Amino acid sequence: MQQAKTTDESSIPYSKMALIFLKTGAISFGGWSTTVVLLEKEFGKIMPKEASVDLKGAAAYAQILPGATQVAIVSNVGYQLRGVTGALVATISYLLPAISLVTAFAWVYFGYMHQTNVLKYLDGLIPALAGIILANAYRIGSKHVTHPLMWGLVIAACLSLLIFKIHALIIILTYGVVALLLSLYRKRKDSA
Amino acid sequence: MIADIISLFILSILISISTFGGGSQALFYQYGVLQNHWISRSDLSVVLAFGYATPGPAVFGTATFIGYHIAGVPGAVIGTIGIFIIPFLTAFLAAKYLKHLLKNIHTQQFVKGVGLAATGLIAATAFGLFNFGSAAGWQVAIALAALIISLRWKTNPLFLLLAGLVIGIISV
Repeated sequence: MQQAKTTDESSIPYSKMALIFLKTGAISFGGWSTTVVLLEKEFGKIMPKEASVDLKGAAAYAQILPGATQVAIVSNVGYQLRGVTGALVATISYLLPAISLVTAFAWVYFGYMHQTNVLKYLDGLIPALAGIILANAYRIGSKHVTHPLMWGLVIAACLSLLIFKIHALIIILTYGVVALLLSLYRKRKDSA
Repeated sequence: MIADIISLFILSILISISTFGGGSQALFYQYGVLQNHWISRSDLSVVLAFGYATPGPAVFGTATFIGYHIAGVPGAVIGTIGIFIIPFLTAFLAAKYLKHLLKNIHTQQFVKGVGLAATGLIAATAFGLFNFGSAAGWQVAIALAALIISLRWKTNPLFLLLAGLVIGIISV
């Protein structure tokens, strides 16, 4: 991954950066991969190859960093372009469309919809959402499951929350720590 | 109200730290609905549906949505900062200091373990929001159709949600 470039006159202006990330944030439907494709297109137009940003590196790291993957990508790309200020400009510009939409929606929802009987019309929306979330879970699981039996661990995590009401954070930490310990044990066994 | 805002800020950071490639829905469900009763299950369904139908990381915008409900625009801003500050900071820290840690096999295994848990928790959120057992047949059919269409054709969720909404309105 590239380090932050020098912020001399050859660097991309903040205004141009802000516009690119604002545009990307406004049309980036469908997860982080869309964001990467859109940024690749935008920077491909304005930057020579040797000065281009390392989008693949940013995406690779973002997937193993905590929090929203898209934000980690744009923050990293912004940092590559103009250091810490660049990361800030990129992140705020990218988030502005989505957050403005959510805030406007919250205003309408809690101000008007919540007080009327609109919620009764959600009887068809909620099952559609459940189907989409399950498909999303399957896609994420497919990235991590390397043996069919590992789906059993996925089901165990699901049941731990649903039936045994174990706190979600405890489930996450347990799985992470057990995987880490198994990895350390395997390395120790291999080197012995 | 101030206690709620502080609590939302801390929990948003906690949700962000605990989310590796997915699972934030489950934590919003845990903290926002079950634990603190800031929003109802229907409210969460609505904001998640909105998140899937809009650009950017709007599912994480649930923190903004809850913040707005608690304290208007200042609450929305605080919820937003809480949920996005961690990926923002770690991303450029990764560029500068964390390269070796992220390439470490043990770190990758930790993330893999967390990913398995997140997958199960996301599924649990779906089952928590929509009770397959007590739902009408047509609702189960919508859920299964949305699942199959999403997996088979990677359709934009917006169309599936709109289709579900329209069928729901017709059936009322």
